[in-house]
Amino acid sequence: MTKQFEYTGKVQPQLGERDASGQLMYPYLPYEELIEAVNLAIYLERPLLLKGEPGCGKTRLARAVAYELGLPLEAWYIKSTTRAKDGLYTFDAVSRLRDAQLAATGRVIKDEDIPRISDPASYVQWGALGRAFQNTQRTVVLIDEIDKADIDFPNDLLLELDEQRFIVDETGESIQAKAPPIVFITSNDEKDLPDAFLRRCLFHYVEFPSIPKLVEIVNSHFPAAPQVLIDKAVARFLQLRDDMGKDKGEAGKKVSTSELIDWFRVLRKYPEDEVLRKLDGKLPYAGVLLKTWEDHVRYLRGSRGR
Amino acid sequence: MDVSNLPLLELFTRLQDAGLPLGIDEYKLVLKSLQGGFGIRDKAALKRLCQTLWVKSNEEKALFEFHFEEVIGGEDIASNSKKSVKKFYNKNFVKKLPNQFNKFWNYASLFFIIIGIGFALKFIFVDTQQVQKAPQQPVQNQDVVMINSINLALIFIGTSIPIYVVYQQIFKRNREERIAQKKIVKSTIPLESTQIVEDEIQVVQAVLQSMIKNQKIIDYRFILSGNLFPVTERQMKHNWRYLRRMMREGQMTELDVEATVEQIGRQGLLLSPVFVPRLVNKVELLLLIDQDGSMVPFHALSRRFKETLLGGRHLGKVGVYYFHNCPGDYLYNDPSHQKAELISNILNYEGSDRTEVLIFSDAGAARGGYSEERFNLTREFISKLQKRVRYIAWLNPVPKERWSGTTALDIARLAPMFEVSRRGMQNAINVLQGREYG
Repeated sequence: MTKQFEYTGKVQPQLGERDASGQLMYPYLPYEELIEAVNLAIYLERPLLLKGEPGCGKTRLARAVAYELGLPLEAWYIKSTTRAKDGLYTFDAVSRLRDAQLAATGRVIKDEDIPRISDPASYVQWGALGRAFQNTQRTVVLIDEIDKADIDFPNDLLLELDEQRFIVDETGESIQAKAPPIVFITSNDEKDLPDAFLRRCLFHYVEFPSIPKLVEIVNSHFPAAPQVLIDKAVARFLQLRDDMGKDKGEAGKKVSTSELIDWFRVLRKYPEDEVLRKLDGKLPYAGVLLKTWEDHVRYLRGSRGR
Repeated sequence: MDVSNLPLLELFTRLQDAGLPLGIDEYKLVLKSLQGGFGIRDKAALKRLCQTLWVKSNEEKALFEFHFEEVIGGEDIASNSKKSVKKFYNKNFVKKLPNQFNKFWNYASLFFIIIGIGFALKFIFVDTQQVQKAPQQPVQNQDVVMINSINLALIFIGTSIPIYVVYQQIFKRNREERIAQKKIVKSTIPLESTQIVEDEIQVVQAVLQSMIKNQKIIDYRFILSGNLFPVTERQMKHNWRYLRRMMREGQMTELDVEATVEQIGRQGLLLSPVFVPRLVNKVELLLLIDQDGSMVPFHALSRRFKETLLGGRHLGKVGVYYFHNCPGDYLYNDPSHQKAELISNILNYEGSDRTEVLIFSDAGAARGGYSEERFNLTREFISKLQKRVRYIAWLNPVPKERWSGTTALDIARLAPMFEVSRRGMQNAINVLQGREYG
């Protein structure tokens, strides 16, 4: 029996701390419901499918969980051309052909390389899931934006996620997960996912944070920032978000938490009193928040009416 | 919270009936989680647990919330409202009862007092008369009796008039009081019962809101929970997936190992690997939907067809157009027949040799009867279409046994027509794929 992990959402990285890949770590403040869902996924050894508005922290969750539990993280970012097999392994057939050819001509290749070239396994490059399966530690796997791929993609992963094993066709090697990975899957709902796949996942909808949570999030990212500024910026941000919601309806893209943090970072670059003054007037540094021309026009029209 | 006695299975079957993709494994997962100590703290925790395990989209969430409230949360709401109703009764009736008793005793005592006063008056009268008559002792007994009876009558009249007046007064006051009380009751009941009414409205609103939150849900309410449709949403999605014509198109991204090896064999050495484009689904489908008129009952069904088709996003191109009864020269872009487009334009610009047409219409079977005009118009349209597109299939929401004697039976000879059922949809897809059906 593997050790039971429990995610609490309370262990946060220090400011300026970097992860193994050298990326800056930021605090992640999940809701109680999300923490529960994560623990359930860990306990049941099932993938957790996360949906929610863009920029509400779906992708960041995996990193936060890996950080708190001290587990390795394997991220697999899906593109429209990604195939299910890519996450397990890729076989570098071209290199093998090239090496075989070089060996045949008897030049370049050294004798000690011959056993390596004759073993097809040395041309297997492991993907995120492939590496996670072979790790003796439970590994946090992030499958990001699964809806970008072909519609068959999720179904092609069923066996691998279900039984946690796969076979490398080229070598006939069978890989069985040494420790069940903790899998997070994010989706932006661009495509419907097949039911067979959905059945095997746990699902959680990441909600947009409430006002106190937003303040808390900004606080944790900018501990040095004065409270007045945070409150004011958050209030201004929420006002913009509400206006967007009214105009575009629930379906439209609204400003998100990640944009708030970016915006606040820009605000912090300027003297506090200047920023406070600016927050009362026209939306300062609107480019960080308003991404389309329509949004901009809508904002200008709205502010003129006010 | 008593975990052993939860109607989880009922909730599960209800959700299953509502169309959520749930299997027995998912049910077991909840049990396993409960054993693992998840979701046993309170009802909210249980709800979150079931939601995480069983609900896979926001639309399903609204359905789940509705059923959860009904099956598990429902008990609480019912007992709550019962309690509040009881409270209401207690406050308004039980407390009023003593009031009414009091009033009764008030009247009774008033009555007795009046009678008492009457008797007292009588005695006083009699006494004074007797005192007055005392000197005339030797008067005859008969006289005394007569005088006494006159006296009595006088006394009776004398007392009954004030009693009557008093009684009238009291009755009037009583009536006024009652009216006033009614008014008070009227104005006090809302005070106390608004709370309950509001509570109940909130419950109703909560249920309604969870239904309204997503406009689609309103239409799904019956469809999903009632299983009224011959083809479920899942089956539709599943069937659409068979609609494919894979072709290699786009950038050369995939390595063709076989071709590369063969090339090396021919050239003697590896010059460059051979790449091929990816396989993409090039099916182009035109979905033509009959709207309004006899098709009104099937609007939800046609909308479902459209949504499942567009949601999958796996086809090369999908066009959805509307018509009424039978397509003439124009098709419409919207269900309300506002934006018209010439059929020839649609076929010229959107159509190709890969275009397939699926028509969703009752072909006159819903209304019944035979219409020569409808048949001729449809024949014209189909023959026009057949010159341009390879495959045409017709889905009819009216069951096959009701086609006989209607235009539908004749139209079915023009294009392969199937009733809307799982089998029928499979057959229609097969026709569109150029396969055999049966």
